[in-house]
Amino acid sequence: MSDSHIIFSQMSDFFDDQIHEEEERLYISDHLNCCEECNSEFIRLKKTITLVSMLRNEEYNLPGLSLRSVTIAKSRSKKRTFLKAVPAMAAALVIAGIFAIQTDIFRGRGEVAKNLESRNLTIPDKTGPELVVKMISNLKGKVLEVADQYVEGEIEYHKFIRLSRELENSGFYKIKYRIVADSDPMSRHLNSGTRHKLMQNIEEVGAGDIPLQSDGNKVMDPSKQSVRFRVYK
Amino acid sequence: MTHTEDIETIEKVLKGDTEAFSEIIKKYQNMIFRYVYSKFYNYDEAQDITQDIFIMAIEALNSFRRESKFSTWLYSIMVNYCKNYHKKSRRYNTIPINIARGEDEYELQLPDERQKPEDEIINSDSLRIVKEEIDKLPDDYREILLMRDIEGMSYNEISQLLKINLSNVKVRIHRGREFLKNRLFSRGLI
Ligand SMILES: [Zn+2]
Repeated sequence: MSDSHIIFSQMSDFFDDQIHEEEERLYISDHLNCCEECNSEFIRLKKTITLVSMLRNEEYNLPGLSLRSVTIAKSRSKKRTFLKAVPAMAAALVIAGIFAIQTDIFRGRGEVAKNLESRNLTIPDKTGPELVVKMISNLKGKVLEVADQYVEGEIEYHKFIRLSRELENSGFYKIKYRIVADSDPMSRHLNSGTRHKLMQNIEEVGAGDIPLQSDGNKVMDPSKQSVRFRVYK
Repeated sequence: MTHTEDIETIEKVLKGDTEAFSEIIKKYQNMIFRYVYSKFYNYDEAQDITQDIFIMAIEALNSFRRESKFSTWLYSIMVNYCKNYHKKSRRYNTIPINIARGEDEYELQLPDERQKPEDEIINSDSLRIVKEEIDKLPDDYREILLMRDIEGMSYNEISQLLKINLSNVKVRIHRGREFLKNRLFSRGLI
């Protein structure tokens, strides 16, 4: 081996003990001892790695994460048990409640849960919000709000098409929707005033209509879009 | 919690004590969140995804083969989840801000600076700079430095997780480190 400088990749391998040839390892270690230039570079590499590794101790503020995860996992497994045990229609009504509570309470919103809890005492209407919540949850959409007049949610574009068909078959006659560029995390930061403003952009259409493109001339890739919607009775 | 303790906890969960999994979550939540956040750069969304990953882990726990480390198994669930998570990847989350200007209103798109995790914990200037520079790395390099230099995974583990061969693992580690080293040098940190 010549007495040329050590290249960076060799240093990196050397640091991680990834040089498997004894001769090469000795050469590198000797060279680092006597070449100031390479030695300084090696020290910079070690400092870089040390600094990066310090991030390992970083802790994030994740309130309630373990409780939520465990509770949701448990309620889902309960749901599977239910599905085996009870006739489909009865199960659907129970599950709608479970789903709604888990989607909302555990994401820091309480409205759906409150609404459903008060309804649990009565026999749910077949075309009530519980059914809508269940349909949305089955298609892995998010339930954002359950109000007296509507259920608001968000779902991927291609699933929205299916959802609107299913809703139509179940007797819901009106859906308002708006296509959003993606799953719209911004909505969570908005206060109710701003959010109300956002909803004004939701177009009003019948449940059978399927959205084709978003506004204007912009043709977006539908597979990457989500739809925010409200389902009215 | 050691590897053996992980296994003991998992046994409990498999016997029906789902709550026992909380211990696992507390132990690994920072590791999972760090990776997820580095992929999506949105604090809320990263929390939701982290939660989904743990739920998925509970539900898939039966398929955990004890010959590998639990952390590696969990990591592989996470890597796959993030890979399949359909979302336009974008570096910043934009929030519309309405600015009133007489009768007009128009929207400004600004990066969401409000809830960066580093604000929570790291005050040290140098670590803040390190994080800034890691964030600027190309995705592949950031991912691999996180695995190697933060989580301390072996080259073999990384190779399996990312489904790339060992020489590619090495190349990415070299390049990522060199890139970062140059950046930290130019910022006078090393
Ligand atoms: Zn030299």
